[in-house]
Order: sequence, then C-alpha cells, then structure tokens
Amino acid sequence: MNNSQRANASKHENGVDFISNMPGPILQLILQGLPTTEEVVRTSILSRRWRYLWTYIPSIDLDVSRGPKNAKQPQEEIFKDFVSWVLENKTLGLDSFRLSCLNYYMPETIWQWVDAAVVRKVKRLDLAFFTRLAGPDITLPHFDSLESLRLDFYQRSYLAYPDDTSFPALRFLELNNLFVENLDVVERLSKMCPLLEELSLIDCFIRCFRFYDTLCISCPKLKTLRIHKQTCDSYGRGISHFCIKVSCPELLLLELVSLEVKDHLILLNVDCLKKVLILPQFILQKKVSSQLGDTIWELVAGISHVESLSLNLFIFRCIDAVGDLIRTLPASLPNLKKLEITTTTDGFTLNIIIGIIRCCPILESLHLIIEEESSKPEYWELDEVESREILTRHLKRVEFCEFDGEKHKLVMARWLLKYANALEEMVFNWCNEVMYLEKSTETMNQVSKVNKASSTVSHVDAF
Amino acid sequence: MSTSSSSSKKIVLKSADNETFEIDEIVALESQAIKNMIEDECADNVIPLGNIDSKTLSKIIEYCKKHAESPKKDDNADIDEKAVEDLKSFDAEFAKVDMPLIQDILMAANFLNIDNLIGLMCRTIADRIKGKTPEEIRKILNINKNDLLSPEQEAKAREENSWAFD
Repeated sequence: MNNSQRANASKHENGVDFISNMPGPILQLILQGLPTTEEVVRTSILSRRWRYLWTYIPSIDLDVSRGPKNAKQPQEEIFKDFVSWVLENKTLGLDSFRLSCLNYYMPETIWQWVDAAVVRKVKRLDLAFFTRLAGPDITLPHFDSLESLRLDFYQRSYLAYPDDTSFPALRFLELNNLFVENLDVVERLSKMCPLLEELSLIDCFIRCFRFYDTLCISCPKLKTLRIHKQTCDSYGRGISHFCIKVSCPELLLLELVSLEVKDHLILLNVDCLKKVLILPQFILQKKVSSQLGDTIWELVAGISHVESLSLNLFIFRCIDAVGDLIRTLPASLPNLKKLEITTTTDGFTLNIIIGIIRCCPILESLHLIIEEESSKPEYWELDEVESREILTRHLKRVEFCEFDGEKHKLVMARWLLKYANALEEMVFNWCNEVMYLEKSTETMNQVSKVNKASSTVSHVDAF
Repeated sequence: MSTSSSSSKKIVLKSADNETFEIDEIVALESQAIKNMIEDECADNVIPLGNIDSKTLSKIIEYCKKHAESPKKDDNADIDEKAVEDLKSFDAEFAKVDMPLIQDILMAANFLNIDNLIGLMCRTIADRIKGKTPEEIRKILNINKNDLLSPEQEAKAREENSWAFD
C-alpha cells in the first residue's frame, strides 16, 4: 500500500504518459469525443501508440468544406482519395457515416462510398450533397440494414426511389431541403419503412400537385412526426402548404412548425399523443375564416388528452374568429402539465389564455413567449383579481427575451413579481451590451423594490 | 444472494493510503467490479483498493452517490427531464478538475468498471484536446518523448492523410 501511495504522489511529476498506457478501447472512447474525423485522424502523428488508433473508430464524419486551405492538389481529388481511404481501409463494423460534399461528385461516386459503408454494416447514414446538373433525380439504392437515414439536398435535387424499394430496418428518417415529384413519394414511405418510428420532413418541396391535395401520413409504428418549414420556399410548393391528415396510433410527439394551416388539418387515431407543437405560420394581414376556426377547434378537441402543448398567436386568432370562446375551447385538458404559448399582448389573447388555463386541472408549468410585433398593441388588463390569479398560479419561470428596459416591460416584470407566488426565476436577456450597461442597474433597482409574492424567486441578468 | 432488498447495507472501501469510506451498498453497486465481487460473495466487510488514493476515491464516491440516487434511464422510458438536466450539470461540474486528477479518476474508474464515469472522463479529455495542435496535445497528455514518430514516419502519416492536415 505504501509503495503505491508513494508511486501515486510522484507519478505525475515524473511525466509518465498514463493516458497512452490505458487500454485501446479507452483511447478510442477519447477519440470518439472529437468532433470530426479529420481531427481524429490528426492524432495519428501524436506518437507510435496513437499512430493507427483512429482506424478503430466506429463513426466517420467527413465534410468537403473542412479541407486544407493551401492544398497542392485540387480539393476534390484529395477529399475523394481520403473518403475512400477512411472507408475501405478497415474491416470493422461502422455505427455512423456522415458525408457532406456539396455538388463535387456524381451520385455514382457517393453510392460507391455508401456501398463501402454498407459492407461495414453501417447503421446510421447522414448524406448532404446535390447533383451538378439540374434534372436527374437522385435515386436511392437499397439499404437493407440501415436504421437511421438523413438526407439533405440543399434545395437543389430531387429524391426518387424505385417502386420496389424497401428499408426494412429503418427507424429514423429525416428529409431536408429536397424536392420530390409528388405527394405519393412521401406517402409511400410508410409502406417502404414498416418499422419507422421517427419521421422529419424539413423544407421539402413538391413538383406536381393539385391545389387541394392532402398529404396523408399513416405509419403504424411512428412515434415522432415533425413537419417544419425553416426557409422561404421560392422554388415551389412546400409540404407545409398542403392539407395534412395524420393517422398514427402510436404517435407520441407531433410538431407542425411554420406550416400554413388549411381548412383541413386532421388528426385521426392519435390516442397515444403526449406532446404537440402547432405553430402555424403567422400571416398578419390574412383574415381568418370561421371554417378555419372550426378546423382548429376540432384539432384542439382531438388532442385534448396531451400532456404538453405549444400554441401560437395564429391558433388564438382562429379561436377568436369563431367568436364563442366557451364553445371553441375543449371542456377540459385533463392531462395537460406543460403549456407553452407564443403570443402578443393584444387584448383578446388574455381571455383565451385564461380560458385555456381554466380547463387545465393539473397544469404544472406555463411558458409565455411574448412577441411584440402586433398591429395594434393593447396591453393586457391585469388588474382583475380572478384573471391575475389564474395567470400567475403556475408561473415558475419568466424570461424576457431581447429585453430593452422599456417602461411597459418593467411594469410587467414588477407586476409578475408582485403577484406570481410560484415564481422561481426571472431572467432578463438584454438585447445588446450598450442597453445592458446603460439600464441594467436601474432595472435591477426597480425590480428589487417590489414586494415579492414568492419567497424563492431569483433574478438573472445577462445579455 | 445480495439483492436490492438490502439497500441499507453498508460497504467499506479502503484506499491505498489506508483511509476507509463507509458507503451504502447501492452506491457501491455503481461499480460493476464491486457488484461482481458482492454477487460472487467474495467481498469481505472491507474492500481494499490498493491502487486508488483517498483523494481519487472520495471523488469517485461522490460521483457514484449522485448517480445511484438518480433514476436510471432503462427503468422508465419517460423519466423526468429535470432529473436528466440535473445529472448533466452535476457531471459538468464534476469534470472541472486538473488533468492529473482526471487521469487518476479514469484509471480508477476503469479498474472499478464504472462505465458512465469512464465515458465522462474520456469526453472530458476529448474536450481538452479538441482543436489543439499535435504539439499542444502531446503536452496536455504528457506523451512520452521516446514514443514519438521519426520524422520519416510522421511525413508518411501526413502524406497518407493529407486531407486532414493543413
């Protein structure tokens, strides 16, 4: 014991290379913590011990935009050699292969690499590329053992697959920035991927469509469905513009972000749903029809069993358009624990928020995101005792984004501190450093003077 | 056989410098090596750990305590997000120690077979060598000068992997 104690005390001073003496699998774990394959490969010159360790790493992440800056040969050639070398040099099984290579190579070259990864039994594949010429579709080969696939075509190429394609083991699929011929290409996915659990369609566009086409998503095993629009669709009609019908008996999470809600947004057979985000694109000028109001009413009624719900101002305007609040809101949201609302402080919104909270018997947290852009700002009338109590009962955390110390925001902050007795934290995220330096002290003074309803509340002040 | 029914049972660990630590069995079970010893009934009342000093051992016990208290991932599919966050921030704080101690913890965790802790230490080391030049990494890891590649070998490695080198 004493020997080892002495050894222990002096080992670091003697400069013994303890890490390199660790077993191979430990060193490989360290290498797996490095962000890119390039960085992993650079460890090959550390010492003799590290020379070939990188070849045992079960994941490959290569990106043509990360190459050397002053290369003697053209980038394309060095990268091509390198990808082949990294893939074909080993016999070991591969967990994941991520390749990002713009339009530098023909699809045939990329499928050759993918084949090499498939030979190494790759489970997760993440490909970002597009074709050099406009026109030819990128046709997916068969991936029998693949469990996870992510494709990103930079909004340039079309995705296609032969009729008999199937991905029998695929559980996660994410399609980004790509075009497909028609909605059928998307709908066929459910037959092609019988085990699909997670489907994300992000900025996907359709070439041929009729105006009132409906996208039907019906997958027996699906647990997560995301349809997002992140960029402007200047190239055609995005999936987010169609009527949508979802029928997935095992679905737990549904996210519909920035889609243009049509008169038909239908959820059938979604009894397992726990978490729902419906944040439609907010078009300020557009008048909301009462039919759309009815669609939203049916939608909210159909998901009244969820535990977590995020809604935005657009939904509120639809509810408002129906006119009859009692009829529009579901009788009860019996399981709802978390409610997130993105809204303005227009007068009508307060009634709806209070109306929703009233039907949530077990609400645990309320997340209010208040946007300023509003055609005519009327401020919430907060002096009514009942509204005040309903609104503040569950409020645990308040965050002011892009805070500028403006008076009406300070009034809101002071009001919340005064009445929110469950409040744990209030965060001010300042919009810039100048504002922060100028007004932070004054704000903190104002805030600290308030007689607080909650004894445990703390402030965070940051920019 | 020892099972979870004996959650209040105590285990004593003895460090290389003869300090003893009495801990709940459930905490000790975070170590697969100790778990095996207990299951094979070859653990005495006191388990001597002749290659782990008390400073390292107390850090390891701190880690095991926290992780033994937290709900396990495979127990329940939808565990509390807050518990996960809490454990994450504990891990982040825990890893804020100097390299010699990280090495000691890693070696001890490897000996005691505590998978999560091995992973945490490896990620921590990776974070510290991330974005560094080979020369800087050699210094951080204390790589033995006698083990360096010859200039010819290094040139060959750079040539083979020219994409990865500037």
